[in-house]
Amino acid sequence: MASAQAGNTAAFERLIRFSERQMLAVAAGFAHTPDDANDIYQDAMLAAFRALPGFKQESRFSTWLHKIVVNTALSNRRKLTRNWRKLNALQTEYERSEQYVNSRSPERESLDEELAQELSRAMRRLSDNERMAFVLCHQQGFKLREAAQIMDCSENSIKVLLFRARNKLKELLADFH
Amino acid sequence: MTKVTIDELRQQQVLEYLYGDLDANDRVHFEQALADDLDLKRVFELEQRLDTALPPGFAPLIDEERLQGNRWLLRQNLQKATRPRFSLLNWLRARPLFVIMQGATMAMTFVLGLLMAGLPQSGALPAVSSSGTAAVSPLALIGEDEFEIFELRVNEFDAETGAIDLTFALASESQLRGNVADERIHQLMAVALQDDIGSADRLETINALEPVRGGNDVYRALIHVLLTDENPGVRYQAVSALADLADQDGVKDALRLALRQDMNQGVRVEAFNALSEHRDEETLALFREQMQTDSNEYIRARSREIVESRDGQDLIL
Repeated sequence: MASAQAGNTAAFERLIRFSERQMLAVAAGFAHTPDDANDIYQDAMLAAFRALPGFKQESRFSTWLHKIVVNTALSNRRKLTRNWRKLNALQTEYERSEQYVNSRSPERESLDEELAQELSRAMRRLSDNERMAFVLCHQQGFKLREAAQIMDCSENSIKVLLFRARNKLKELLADFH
Repeated sequence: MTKVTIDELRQQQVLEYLYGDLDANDRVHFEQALADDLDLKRVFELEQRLDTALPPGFAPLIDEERLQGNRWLLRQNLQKATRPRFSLLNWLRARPLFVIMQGATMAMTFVLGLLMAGLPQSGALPAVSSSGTAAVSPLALIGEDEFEIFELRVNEFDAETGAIDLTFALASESQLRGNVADERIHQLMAVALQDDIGSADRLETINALEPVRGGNDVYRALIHVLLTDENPGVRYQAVSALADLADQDGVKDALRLALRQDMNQGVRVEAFNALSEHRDEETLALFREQMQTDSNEYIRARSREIVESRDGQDLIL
C-alpha cells in the first residue's frame, strides 16, 4: 500500500488485482455497452491511482475503490457526448448484451440469452442511482449498509432505490416470472 | 395509513430480509412473521418471483480475455499518467551555461529561419504520403514564443574553433485561428489525428474535419483512425465521416477491413451500410462471409439479402 501511495504503478496494479474483476463487473452492470464499462473501469482506476496518496485507511480499501468506480460511472453518464449517444443508439438496436453468469454458483450457470437482453434493456429504464443500488446489492451481494457507504447515502435511501428498481424490473420483466 | 403504504412497508421489511444485515434472531422473527401474516407472505412471494427469474448474484461475465485487455490498457494509461512532465527550467538548471547559450542560439536561428522563409504556397503543399506522415511541417505554424527545447545534445564541439554539432528537440503550444478549409490547418489536424492526442480531442478533430474529409491527407488520417484507434467512439466517428467516400478504392479497402475485424458492432454496421451502397465483387465476397460469421444479426440478415438478390440476378442472366 505504501509503495502504491508513493506512486509505484506496479504496486498499485498488485493492490487492485484482487478486486479488478468485481470492479469491472460493477461497471458492466451499470454501463449500457461493454465498451462503456471498460472506459468507466479505466477512468476509475486512474482516478483511484491519483487519489491513493490521500487514502487514510479509515475505510476498507475495497469500499473506497468501489466508491470511486460508482462516482466515475455516475459522472461519466452525465457527460456523455453527442457522439456516444449516437453510438449507443445504434448499438442498442443491434448489439448483443453482456453475458450474465451467477458468480455465487459453483457451476457459474448462465442467464438465458433472451432474458439477459431483456434485462439489459430494462436496466436502461432505471435511473442511474436505482441501477447502481441494484447492481451493488442484487448483482454483487453487498448489504444495504455497505451499499449506503459506497454510494454515500443513508441505508434508507438505498432501500428506497432498491424498492423502486425492483418494482420497475418486476414490471419490465413480467414475461419472465 | 393507506393499503399501498402498508404494502410498501412490508416490501421494505422483505428487502431488509433479502439484502440487510439481519442476525439469526431477526431472520427467525421474520420467518415467523411470514408464517403468521398472510399479507407479508403475499408481498414476499411477489418479490420471490423476481428473484426466481433473476436470482441474486447474476452479474455480467468478466472473462479472462476482457480482464487481460483491461489490465494491459490500464498499464499503458498508468504509464502515460506518470510520465514526468518536462520542465525547461529544471532542464536548464542541470546544464552548463555555454551549452544553454549555444542551444538557444541554434533554436532561435532555426525558428526565425522558418518564419523568414514564410509559409509555402498552398498549391505547392504536398499531400500526406501514403505512409501517413505530412510533408508540411507543423513547425511552420509555430509562433516566436511558443516553443520549448526539451532535449539538447552536443554531439561534437571543437573548443578551439567553436564549431559545434547539436541535436535538439522542441516542444511547443501554439494557437491557430483560421478556417478548416485552409490546407495548412487541416493538414496539421490530419497529422495530429495520427499522433498521441486524447480521445475527446480526436472526436472533436474528426468532427471539424468532416467538411474537408475528401482531401487526400484527411481521408488517409481518417482511415488510420478507423483501423488503429482503440476508442470505439472515435472509430465510429471516423467510419461515419468516411461513409460518403465509400466509392473510393482506398476507403473501400478500409471499410472492408473494419467490417471484417472491428470488435465494435456499431462501427461494423456503419462500415457495412457504406459498403452496401458501393458493391463490387470483393465487397460481395466479404458479404458472403459475413452472412455466416458476423455476430451482428442486422449485418448477417442484410448481407444474405444482398448476396441472394445478386445470385438471383446471375441466374436470370
